[in-house]
Amino acid sequence: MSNKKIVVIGGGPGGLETANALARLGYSVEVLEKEEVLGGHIRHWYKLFPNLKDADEVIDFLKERAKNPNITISMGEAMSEMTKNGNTFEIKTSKGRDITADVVIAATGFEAFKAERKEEFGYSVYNNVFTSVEIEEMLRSKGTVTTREGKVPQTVAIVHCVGSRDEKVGNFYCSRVCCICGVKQAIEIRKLLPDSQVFNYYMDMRMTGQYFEELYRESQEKWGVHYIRGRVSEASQTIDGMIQIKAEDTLLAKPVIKKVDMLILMVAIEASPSTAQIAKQFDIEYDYGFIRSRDRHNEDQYTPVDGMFAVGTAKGPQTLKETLADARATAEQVAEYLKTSSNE
Amino acid sequence: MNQIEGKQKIWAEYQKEIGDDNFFFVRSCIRQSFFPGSEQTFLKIMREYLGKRVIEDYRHTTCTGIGYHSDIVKLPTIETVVARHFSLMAENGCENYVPSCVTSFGIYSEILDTWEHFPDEKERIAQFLKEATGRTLATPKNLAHTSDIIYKFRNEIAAKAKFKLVNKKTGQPLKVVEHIGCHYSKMFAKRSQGGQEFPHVLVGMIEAWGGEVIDYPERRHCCGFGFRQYLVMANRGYSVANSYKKFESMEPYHPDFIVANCPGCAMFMDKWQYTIGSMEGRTFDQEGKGIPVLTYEEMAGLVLGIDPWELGMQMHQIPVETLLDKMGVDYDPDKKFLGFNDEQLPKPPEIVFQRD
Ligand code: SF4
Repeated sequence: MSNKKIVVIGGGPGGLETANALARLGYSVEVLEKEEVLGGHIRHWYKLFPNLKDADEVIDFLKERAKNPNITISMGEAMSEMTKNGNTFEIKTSKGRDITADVVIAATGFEAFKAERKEEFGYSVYNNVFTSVEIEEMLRSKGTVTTREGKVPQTVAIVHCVGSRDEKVGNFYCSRVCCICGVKQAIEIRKLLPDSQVFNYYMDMRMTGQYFEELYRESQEKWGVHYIRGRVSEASQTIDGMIQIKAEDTLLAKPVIKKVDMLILMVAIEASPSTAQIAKQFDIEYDYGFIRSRDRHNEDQYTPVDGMFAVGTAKGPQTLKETLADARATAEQVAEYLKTSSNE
Repeated sequence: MNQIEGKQKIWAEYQKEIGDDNFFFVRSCIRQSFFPGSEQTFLKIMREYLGKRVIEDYRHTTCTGIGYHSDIVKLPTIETVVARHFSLMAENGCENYVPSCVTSFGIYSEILDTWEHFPDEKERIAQFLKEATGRTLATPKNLAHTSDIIYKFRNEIAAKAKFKLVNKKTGQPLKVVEHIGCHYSKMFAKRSQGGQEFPHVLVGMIEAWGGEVIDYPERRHCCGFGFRQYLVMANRGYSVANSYKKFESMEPYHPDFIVANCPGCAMFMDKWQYTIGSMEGRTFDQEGKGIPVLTYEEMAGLVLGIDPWELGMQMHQIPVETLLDKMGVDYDPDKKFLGFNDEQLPKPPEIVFQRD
């Protein structure tokens, strides 16, 4: 259909599904994936919100669709450098390959906020402070949640907005997925450990997607999850190895000190180094290192650079559902772009 | 990752540059009354033990920090006072500015940062300085707190140590509570040694000299000073309550002593223990005598074998003898209250903490 070279940078859900959709439209696509496995962050995930579907189901679906003669997947190969030369992009890969591409799709995604940066929460200092990502990995590998010493937790606190909506770390934005992730993990813990108590410390609960509000409600009515409106100011370790947190309950207007067995930090979505590299180099940075689209409403899959498209969390926080829809839209926009006489 | 590895990772990110020699040293207003031996000890260690050049200038004044934090002194005023201090440093041919007070260190850090971000403000202050004193504004190449300097030379001090922070009888490391002044690292983490929440500045000294640091739940809680908590007399109960909270939290770890790098912290943790002991008959140590509170110069001085009374440790409200005995430091109890020329100073009554 077209002899144009299309390269997707990143083999996470956004990149894979863009390639899948393009392949189905008849285009040949090469996907560069820096890891030796496909699936991006989602492969660390246990279940998905809001319907608690196995994350593997989505990965398997995407990988199955990618078994298409129009798709070449280059594993363990990252984009190291990329320049624009006239109408084409010159890509150097980590394996030393030079690729000339007519169309590039940045599916370079996000990176979880490094929780150590919020020193006050003691992540990496105190044993039983975890990130939301670690909890997903633990649920995947063990099917349950325990302290690092292998103890069944009685009390768990979940802290929202870790690295998001936080002037101190320079991230004013909301990561959009962590409130619902906190709700989901709280339910998972309560289901697995009915004797436990789970407390979510939040600024405001942002149920940004369909059925999120329902899950939030279910977490309270059916699973007895507690919600405390207030930010945690500090975490420290007690002599018996528990985590002591200090917060303010802004609804009761009272300071709270609580000892918990585990503290889980809902870490922010930040631009991945590759996302930030592309955004900076091509001067298409939105804010915080994410890639700016040409127009938020009308041309959200295009970037300001002709021939370059961006998909999913490379443009900012998105849910998986939004990323998959964005990927399908991106494929359609790429096809439209290639069909115009000057590009075909 | 264990606690220590986690902290080391954080510490590695906050390594600040500290001058090596040629220091312009400025004293603290309150330390000279509360711990008068400490600044002298700093100078002694620097000059006699480490062979460094440290310059002082009698024209240096208060930084007005306490007035500033109580809303009495306005920002342009304190900036001009600080600008004058910096020009004294330049006049003495120094570039490494070393304040002994953590409040001042915070003030200097804040003002340097303000000038960096608002060059117009710097210009304005340079003008004020010129009009008020005829001086020209200079800024230090390096700003470090005196605790940073001792930290930097901690291994050299360890090499000359006569005593270790070890219980001589048991051979076990002494358990030490370290307390960092808020204005050392909480305002500008990048100007601290080791970051905002787990600074390394005192930990580094304690570990280099053989002690063991205690991390207790209220480690980062305010010492109780907090300026307004204390300066407004009606708030003093609040000040004591904050200190109480810390003592209660550290008690189960059985600390042998507390060390602080801020004059206010050392003073309040020392004096409020006495206050609580007198009011409630309550102490937080096992012997019922209170937990000695040291400055880092005193800690360094003891390690180097300087006589505790020369260090000024008789000025403490909580007696330090329990610690001296644990370390095996030789001291003459009869000389505790001798002044210069062996003149006998008034002896305070022996303290017995008990509820009325
Ligand atoms: S989604 Fe919730 S937890 Fe995440 S940044 Fe937004 S408000 Fe905070």
